[in-house]
Amino acid sequence: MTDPLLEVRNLRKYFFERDSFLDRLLGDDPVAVKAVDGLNFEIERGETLGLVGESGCGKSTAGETVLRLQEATEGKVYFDGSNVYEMDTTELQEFRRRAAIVFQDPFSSLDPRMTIGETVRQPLDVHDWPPGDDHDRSKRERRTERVRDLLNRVGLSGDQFDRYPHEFSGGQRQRIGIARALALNPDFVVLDEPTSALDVSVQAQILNLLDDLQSEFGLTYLLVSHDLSVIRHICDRVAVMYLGEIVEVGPSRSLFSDPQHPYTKALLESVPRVDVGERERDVDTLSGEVPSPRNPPTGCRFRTRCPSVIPPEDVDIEQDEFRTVQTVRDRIRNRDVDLSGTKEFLETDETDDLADRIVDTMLDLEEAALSEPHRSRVREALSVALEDEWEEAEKSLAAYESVCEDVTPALQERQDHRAACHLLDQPAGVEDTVTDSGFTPRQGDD
Amino acid sequence: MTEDILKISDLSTRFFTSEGQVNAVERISLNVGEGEVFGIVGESGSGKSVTALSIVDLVESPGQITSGSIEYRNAELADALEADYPDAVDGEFVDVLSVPESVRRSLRGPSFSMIFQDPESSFNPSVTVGEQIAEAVEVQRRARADPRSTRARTQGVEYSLSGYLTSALLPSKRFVTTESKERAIELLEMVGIPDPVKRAEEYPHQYSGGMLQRAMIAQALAGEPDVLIADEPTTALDVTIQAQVLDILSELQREVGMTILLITHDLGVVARMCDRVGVMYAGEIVEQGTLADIFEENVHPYTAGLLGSVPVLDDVGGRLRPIEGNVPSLLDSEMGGGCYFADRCPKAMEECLRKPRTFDGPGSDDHVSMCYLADHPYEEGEALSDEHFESTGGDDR
Ligand code: SF4
Repeated sequence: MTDPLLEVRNLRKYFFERDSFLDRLLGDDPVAVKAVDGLNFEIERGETLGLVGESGCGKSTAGETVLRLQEATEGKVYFDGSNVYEMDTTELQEFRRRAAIVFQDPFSSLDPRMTIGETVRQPLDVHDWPPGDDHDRSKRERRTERVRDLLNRVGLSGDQFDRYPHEFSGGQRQRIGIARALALNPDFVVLDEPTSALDVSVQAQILNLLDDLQSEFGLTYLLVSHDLSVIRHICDRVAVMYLGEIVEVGPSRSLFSDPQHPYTKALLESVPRVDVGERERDVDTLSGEVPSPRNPPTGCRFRTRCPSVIPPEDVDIEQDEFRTVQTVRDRIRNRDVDLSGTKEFLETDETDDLADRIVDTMLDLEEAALSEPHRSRVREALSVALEDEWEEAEKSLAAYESVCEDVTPALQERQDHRAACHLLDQPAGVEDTVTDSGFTPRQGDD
Repeated sequence: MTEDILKISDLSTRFFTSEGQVNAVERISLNVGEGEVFGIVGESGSGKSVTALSIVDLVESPGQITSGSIEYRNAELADALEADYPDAVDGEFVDVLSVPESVRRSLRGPSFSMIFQDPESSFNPSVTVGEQIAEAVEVQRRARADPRSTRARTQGVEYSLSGYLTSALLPSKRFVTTESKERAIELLEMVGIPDPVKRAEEYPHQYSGGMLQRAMIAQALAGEPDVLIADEPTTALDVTIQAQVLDILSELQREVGMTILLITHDLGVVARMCDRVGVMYAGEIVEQGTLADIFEENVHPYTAGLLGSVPVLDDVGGRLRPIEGNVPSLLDSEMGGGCYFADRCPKAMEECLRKPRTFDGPGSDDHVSMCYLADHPYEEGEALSDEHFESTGGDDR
């Protein structure tokens, strides 16, 4: 097998908030938003890799950082063997020729004041295409001819050269975006939600077009999308992202038919099927929402929503009870129990009584039950919290500490692909390498 | 099947723009049974959202409902209106298009409530979410407390209308009672907002998209509407959050027996939620029937095309079968007299140049389609030649 076209190693992209001069003067620490936090993957020549996940998981940032449209905070991206972040101007220019991007929104990504011919020709102008001198014909003529060919190839007509974007439908504008991306004959194209703004009948046309272009020009794609069906349809391999990390990666077939990570399972289950039996299909919906990337959960980032989070071995507790206890622990840890509001609502002043009633109300809301001794312990912890003894409260529930919150799981090989979850046996010593994603470093690195 | 609660016949809504008359909704007819989830599915420009707005009387100028009736079953209301508007009343049904605007407006909330794709538009950014929901509860309480309010006697209507306006214009706190506040918290809890007591005190910007979407559902439910009209209620949401919100909607629908008219472009959502479905194309309902009729017994090539375009989760690649071309112009002057789908239709025949009427479909008793193929089989020999559509080109325009 040949080397992959693209190799991504430990890629991080953090955005810093509160990072202005004044903030530093005032001594406020910058807050890191960990949009992409330690990605490792590679893309073979001619294949399509899908990056899938919900909004805020970092998939689009990953796509742009790989192309060096944004600088990485850390990590390496090897394109055909050389590190994109260490390229000099000439190398970078060559990289820009060989790697292109198609954006989601065909409405805002085209300059309304440029004719579509100019739009598609722009990269040719910037790169002074074609290289070398051909005295017979001017470069201008050759560029115009190239643009016409491209427009024809993507299903538009070369005659539309002089028209403006507003004269085109969404699907046509996306074709223009694709023609522009292909202008310099790239090897690699990042497709960032290329069909999300389109109607489904038009989406199908564009997906078929992308498919044809890939075989015709031997393109390698990185498809960034939130749409699992689209990903399934066109990707050879898929990486599932959650809060800046890859939780599962592998060939589409095995990943979709035999998902190993609880998040992937939930994601797949959530997609409504176009099928008459869909109403009867049981869907265990994930509870809660994605936590903030400013302060991601420790250990496994999915644990706050995970239906299978693992209780400590020596605690005898049902799964849903355990999740309730975890919720309380997280709330106490984040000092997120609204005491005065609850007091007011329950119209009581007696702290003693209050802890009981909070537990009742909470269990009621969560439609959960807690058996003994867990209920008493939670009640105990809450009454300590009510006295403002947060740390005490935290400690009193320490026995419930899960491996999922302590240790970041590493990607493990299962069923032909890799997933990062403690339910899959973890390698010895994983505790020491909590940020390592289980990848053997590239030969010759550092 | 249950009794109908909504009967829409021949409804047309047009927009009179500077470029000409746009036929956004073109003589559509549909019946919705009480407690049923009826889906309207279509792509952009199909007229599905304008249909929703027409029912709640929120079509804005230059748009106008130009024909048809929207009959709504409500015995009490029919009783109250009988004397003054005999033409608008038929048994227990009231044609909401034949009563004065003030009466129509008073139906918003207690009879029809609408939720939108974009929840921000439904909330005032400077008032807490709890108060805004409590307000909606108050409006409803006042309407119910004064039975005259739904009557057509001008006085009664004005009363509820002024009540509505005062509560909308004056600082809401004055009108929010402890009771309505508690009800608001209950509603927030019902739609799955964690910590509703605390959340009720927060402002819309403190909510995430999924959370605000739920709060909007709570607000719409505050009026205890007979019919909930949901326009792309989950389109802006992530798939796991969409699953939660759809779950809540079906649960409420089952518990309260609410009727839902669900507008969506997503066939998966249709499959998950709907009993019956209308497929819209270019302002018309081109096919209508039970979910099984539409998914498995469809006769209209547009319905088939739509289903063929969707990549499905369980497929293994292969090629999609897109519909060539793009949604046609809805300008009256450009629409032509035949089947609006003919120029994109792989099975268009000579006859299709004349407007098809509505034919019975092969599925259930409710199955109808506006396509000649419902009536007779496709013969390749009758196919329209390509030259016929030369001018429109094969690509999406
Ligand atoms: S590591 Fe634990 S919390 Fe994370 S997905 Fe696996 S079981 Fe769930």
